[in-house]
Amino acid sequence: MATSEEGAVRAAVARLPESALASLREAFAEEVSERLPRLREAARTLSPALLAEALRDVHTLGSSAYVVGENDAARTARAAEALLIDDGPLEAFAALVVELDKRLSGWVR
Amino acid sequence: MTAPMTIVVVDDSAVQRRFLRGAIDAAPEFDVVGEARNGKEAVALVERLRPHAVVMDLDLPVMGGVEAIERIMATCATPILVYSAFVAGEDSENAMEALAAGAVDVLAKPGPQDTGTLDEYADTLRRRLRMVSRIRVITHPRGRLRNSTGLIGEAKTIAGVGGRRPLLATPAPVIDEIPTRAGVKLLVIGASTGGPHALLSVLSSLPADLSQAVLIVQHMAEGFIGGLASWLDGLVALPVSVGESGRRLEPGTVTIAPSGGNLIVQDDRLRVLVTPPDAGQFHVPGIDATMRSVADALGPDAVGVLLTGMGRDGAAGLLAMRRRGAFTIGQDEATSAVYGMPAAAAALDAIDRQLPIEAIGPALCDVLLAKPTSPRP
Repeated sequence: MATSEEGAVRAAVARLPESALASLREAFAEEVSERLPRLREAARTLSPALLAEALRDVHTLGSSAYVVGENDAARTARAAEALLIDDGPLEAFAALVVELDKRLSGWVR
Repeated sequence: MTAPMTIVVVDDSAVQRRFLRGAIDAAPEFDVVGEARNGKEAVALVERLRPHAVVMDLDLPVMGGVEAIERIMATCATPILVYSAFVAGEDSENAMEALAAGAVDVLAKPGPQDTGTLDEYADTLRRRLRMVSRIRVITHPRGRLRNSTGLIGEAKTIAGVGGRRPLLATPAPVIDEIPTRAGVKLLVIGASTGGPHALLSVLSSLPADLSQAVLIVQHMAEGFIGGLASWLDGLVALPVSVGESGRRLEPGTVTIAPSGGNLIVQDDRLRVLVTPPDAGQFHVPGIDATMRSVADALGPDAVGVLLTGMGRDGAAGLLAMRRRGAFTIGQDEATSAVYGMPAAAAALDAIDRQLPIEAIGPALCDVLLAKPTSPRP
């Protein structure tokens, strides 16, 4: 459920022309559909090669989610990114991906 | 009707590109004419479209943002507004890298750290872009070096600082003899748009055993001064830190005025105080306020330098210093990213010497009787 802050953000986005808003949502759905499966796989295998790509995925999703008003997802993605950058425990990264999956799976086409 | 300013946006995220397009095109004075997904595409697109300005992320695939900025500034100088998630707070060294590469302003992407709405953010973006797109930028030598050699290979390193990164080697032009000054205690430098790169150029000439204290006032948004200090500290021979109220400026050190107030030199023992800005003061920290205090506290025992920047802050302060007998230098038009503040100082007759940026460091060594840094064998 959206907080009042998130509601304000969504209202602000809504001031963009409807065509621009629809375009933003469409682009975000495409981005999530492309990146979330890769993140799931990285979290499942914890393979170094996949984790390198996962860093870019959580970085991009962290910024994009905020633009469409998915603030909690943005915070989760940023936390996952910080964890990878700081060489934190990979189990914690996997848990954050599970959380991100719950928040964003509705966007997957 | 005036033709709109043409803009190219660069981000690997389609969401960000569409947001930028929507936010920028909402103002009739702008027209987004192209989108690039990585640094390589950005360089090619800017060369082809010759936009008035570029909005660019730093974290890009294929070619990173900093390299793309260097290449654009070397081949097709265009005002660039950096738009990145990691440029504020502890990440502000990324912003310094981008500014040193030739970008003229930096804006953090919208995120959970913002207190305003996205609509307010879009307003800020357009305001900053309005300013950036009006700046006349110059070709940037760092990119030229990289283009011609494949890397910054003709660079020099700073004497006495093993392991630090190479700096640019730009031959200093021949200039008129600079008078030496005995008894100088303080060198004060003011800078604004284009300042980080200009400061690096000047400070990289000064030796680690400099007998004078150095004080810098750089116009910069809240949260970036610490990054500027740590970035410079990693690149020049002198230690660089952010100033604090009640401390003294020490010989052989560089102090940068903190954001949020004016740094005032209280007396000839170089004690400093941070005071609240004046009502309506546009630039904080203010260069005029610091330079006037230096004029009062030190008279002829100081040297003043005004580098690239928009507006006229520092011109009156430099004039006050010159009237009290201090030697003063202004950066010339050809090497200024924005020839505003030095032009205002020149118009007030506040400048003893107007010099290209690469000549200012060596000239200061002459004035201060310091042995300039030289390439290591």
